[in-house]
Amino acid sequence: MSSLLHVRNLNIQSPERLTLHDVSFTLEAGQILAITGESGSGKSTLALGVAGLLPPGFQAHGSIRLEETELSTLSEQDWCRIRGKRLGMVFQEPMTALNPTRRIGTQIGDTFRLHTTLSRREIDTKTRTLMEQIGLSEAGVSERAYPHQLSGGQRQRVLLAMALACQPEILIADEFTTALDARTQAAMMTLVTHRCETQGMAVLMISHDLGLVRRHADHVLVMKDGACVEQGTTASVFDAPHHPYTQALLAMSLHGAARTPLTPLPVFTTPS
Amino acid sequence: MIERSNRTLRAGSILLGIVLLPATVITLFDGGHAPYIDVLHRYAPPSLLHPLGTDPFGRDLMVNVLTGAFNSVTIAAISVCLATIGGTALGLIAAARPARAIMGIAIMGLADLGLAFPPVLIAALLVTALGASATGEILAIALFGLPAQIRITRQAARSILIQDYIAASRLAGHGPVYIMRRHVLPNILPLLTVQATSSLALAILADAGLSYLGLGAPPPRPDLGRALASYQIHIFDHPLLVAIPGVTIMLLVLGFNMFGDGLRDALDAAHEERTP
Amino acid sequence: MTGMDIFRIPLERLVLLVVASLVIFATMNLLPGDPAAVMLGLDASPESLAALHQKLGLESSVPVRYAHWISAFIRGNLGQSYIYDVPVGSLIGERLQSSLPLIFLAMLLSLGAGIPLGVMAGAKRGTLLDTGLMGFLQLFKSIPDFWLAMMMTFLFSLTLHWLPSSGFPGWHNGALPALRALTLPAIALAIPQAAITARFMRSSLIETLSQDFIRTARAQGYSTRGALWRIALPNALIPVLTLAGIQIPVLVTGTIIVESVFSLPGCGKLLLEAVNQRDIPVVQNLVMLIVASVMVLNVLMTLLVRWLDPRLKADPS
Repeated sequence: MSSLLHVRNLNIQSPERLTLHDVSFTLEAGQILAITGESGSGKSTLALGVAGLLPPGFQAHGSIRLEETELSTLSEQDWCRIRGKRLGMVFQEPMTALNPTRRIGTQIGDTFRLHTTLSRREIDTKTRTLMEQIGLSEAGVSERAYPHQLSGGQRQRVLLAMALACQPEILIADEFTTALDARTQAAMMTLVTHRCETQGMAVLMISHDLGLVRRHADHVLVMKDGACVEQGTTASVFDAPHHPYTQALLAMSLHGAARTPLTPLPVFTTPS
Repeated sequence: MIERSNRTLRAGSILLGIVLLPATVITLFDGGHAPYIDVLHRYAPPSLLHPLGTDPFGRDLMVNVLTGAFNSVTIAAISVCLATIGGTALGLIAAARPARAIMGIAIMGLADLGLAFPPVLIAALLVTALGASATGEILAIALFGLPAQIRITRQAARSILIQDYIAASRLAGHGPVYIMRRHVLPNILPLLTVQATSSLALAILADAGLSYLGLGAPPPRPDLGRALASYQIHIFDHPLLVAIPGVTIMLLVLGFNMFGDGLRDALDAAHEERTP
Repeated sequence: MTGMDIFRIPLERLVLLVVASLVIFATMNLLPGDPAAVMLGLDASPESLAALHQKLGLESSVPVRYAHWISAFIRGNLGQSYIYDVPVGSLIGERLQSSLPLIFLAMLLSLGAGIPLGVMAGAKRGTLLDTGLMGFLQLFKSIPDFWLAMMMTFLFSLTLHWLPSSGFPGWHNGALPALRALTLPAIALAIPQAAITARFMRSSLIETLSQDFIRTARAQGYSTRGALWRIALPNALIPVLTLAGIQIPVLVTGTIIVESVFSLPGCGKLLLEAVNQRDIPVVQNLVMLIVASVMVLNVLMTLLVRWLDPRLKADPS
């Protein structure tokens, strides 16, 4: 069985404590796997760990395999050939994730520059095409614009363009629609799912928004305190949650809807 | 973090103590005058009577340097006091005004003007017009420190003034003077203390430079910068004469710098503890 | 907005410059005492006083005198030195031969040493190299520049005989002797500024490296080194340029002091001589010239920073 991404017993140690505990999952081409859970459950650490971008002082143990390549033992040099090319990443903060002093066209073009041998003209053409696909051109955004001249949604589109430029096999999207309004959120998700359907791109979607997860994910992995408490197909997890934590999480999100935050959850201990 | 800042603070205090304690004692004892000129004992090597030897005028080098240090610190302290009081007042007024009000623009213009007027130029103008005097030197150093003080106060006060409780206080009918006195000033006081300590280091350097150039307070009171100017030609035959006053200035400046850094770290740590 | 700034900033500085000229003029002319009496000293005869009055144009009213002075200054006529009886302009021009290269060299050294040291410490943050370097530089920040200059002459001129300890041979004897004479003064002038630049560069780089867009660049495929040099450094350098603008007047002050230590016949020495001799035309015009040059350089630096940092173009605060 040849899955695209294969994560086995991933443990991540921060300077103070173990932040990720024995997480395993697989991701198939064209699929969307959602990682969900409350704040501080280790979702983002997992995303950074898979991309090899853990902050200094963090240590990862376990196996992360992208097709035939074992990522966990990769040298920095080899990592740079994978990040941005086979593995795209979008982050949550659209306001600060772009370099304020460089034009957005240059920043998008960087992905091509780093991973292809295209000429400057070809890069410019490709950047423009990409900006059209991603819906920036129709909003009247020029590639010569600076990030501060763009709205939050537009900036997130730029970040998505940077991540998708080299048609990665996997997109890691860390809460990338959280800061956006509902309409922009839907538009962004359409862009992503379109890529999944047409190019077989797989998505590792980190989100605490259960509505979003239910609408788009094929599989769900629920995390609590750095460990996976439940995983399965979206339908099975949402319709018949096994773990009491998942049940509580679902109950909170259904009852409280958008009004109350998810924070005051009952305390459960994870099976060790 | 607290450990480290306390260490910096303590090291700064020790450096300052090494110079300031004996300087104060000797100044109180001698009244701050230069030691007597004694032409028979010029360039005496260190001895029990003169621990660091004597200078080209036969004066005790240690007494001359320590009295000079006391005078330098006094001038620096008065200048910093003036700059702090004036700068804080102007900074608060500028902060209270809308960005486009004439008063605010005028005060910030004054602060900008200070950028182009280093203390040597102010002192040069004052000395040409009035002759060298301690008052002129203090004025020059204070005017030099004023712009930074205005900017820092204004910025800090602004960050307090946008808080919700200020709006609440305003709605409760409190006037700007009350708000400044009750809410803004107590909040920015720690910052102003740190700033004043660091300014002292700069003021001592400025004083040394000015008196070295002959633009500072005139004789007879000893001064470190002036001492260096008169000892400079002896650098090869009596290097100690140049080394001692220089090291004294360095100890003072380093001491105030470290004291200020340690104070800032300590206050930051205290602040972090209050607001986790 | 950008277009606005290009006019607004110089205009603001021009207003400041007018205020500065008023301050300078007032100190020189309105403070108690008669400028002519100040220049001639206590035992001046009434005749010589009257003659000097006439020469300095002191009979006219104060506003007329100010207008005369400032209009002549703008036309490049800096008046006549009382002591040397030559045009102040030519006096200054002669002295600039050593002062300008000195300031330029010192600026170059300060940035050329401060920036790499700061980048080194910032990139290796928390290592022994970083803490050691920063402690060492803190020491240099606390040393009076003129004393440092003296110590350097002691070591490099008097003991090692590498470089001349004082004087300036002029450029007519070839560039090398002149540059040799300026080397020690420039280093003495640059070291404290280099220390400040290095510390600032370090914190600016550390601050930039902690930004989210560095992670974005890494996710895009930049290596750690690539992100440091290509992404973080250009951004971190912008505040350092602002600092360099602020350091210009500090360097000018330092020049006055360093020229005094090394007996260089520069503008600083000229100013001190003029102050001691109460040569009011020289003091007044030289100070005005220094303030004006500092302002012009400051405007250029501000505009450069604004041009480099697109955020500032949009938000003029």
